[in-house]
Amino acid sequence: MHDRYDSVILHFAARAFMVPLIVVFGIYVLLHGESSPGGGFQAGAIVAAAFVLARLTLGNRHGGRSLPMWLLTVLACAGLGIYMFGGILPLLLGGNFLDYGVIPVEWYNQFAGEPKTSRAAGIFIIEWGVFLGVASVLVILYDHLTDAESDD
Amino acid sequence: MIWWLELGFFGLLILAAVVALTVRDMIAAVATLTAYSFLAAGLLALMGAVDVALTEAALGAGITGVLLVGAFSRLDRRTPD
Repeated sequence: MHDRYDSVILHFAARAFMVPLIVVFGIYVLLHGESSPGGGFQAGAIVAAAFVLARLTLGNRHGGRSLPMWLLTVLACAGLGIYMFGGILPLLLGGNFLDYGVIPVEWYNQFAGEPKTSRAAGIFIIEWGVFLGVASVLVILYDHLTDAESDD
Repeated sequence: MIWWLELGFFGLLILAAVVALTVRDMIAAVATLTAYSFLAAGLLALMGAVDVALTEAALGAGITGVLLVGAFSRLDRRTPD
């Protein structure tokens, strides 16, 4: 589980097809979470599965090079911070905690030319926080469980 | 709606659960548990709960199996009972 399994076909399939496709599908599930099945939690689980697949095929050290532990920790904390930001932002604008109805979106609708309600915008912020938190925490779980150096 | 498909899924689900409980090899138990999760996800999708099915397929059939195999790699592979 810690070592790299030497197979050209396995490495090519994992690196060139499966991991990028799974990440793109996870982002799709995240961005379409309001109008179709999906959301932050599901997208986070799918993207975490992609990174765990990279670690399984390429080995822990080699596969985890692009996403080391310190970056994962920062991303998990950033996810919690984004969630808190989405909760406190309506508080600053005169509403209650997590009351998305007061978030101003008129400037965004004029800029993008689409009618988006403020509640959808608030849920979108929350979904990004959940996505970052779930994805990085699941990868951190795998890294700690299969860490070769720690023997506890 | 497609009653014979649901019946087949239910039968395979119960079979996978019984095999996962009775098999001696831990890795085989994890594999059948993964199959159980995937069949449960198919049943949920058939019932119209695509959201739950997506979560079950990603977490139950993907991450949980890998985490359990990682945990068993530190333990004995065969269970004594």
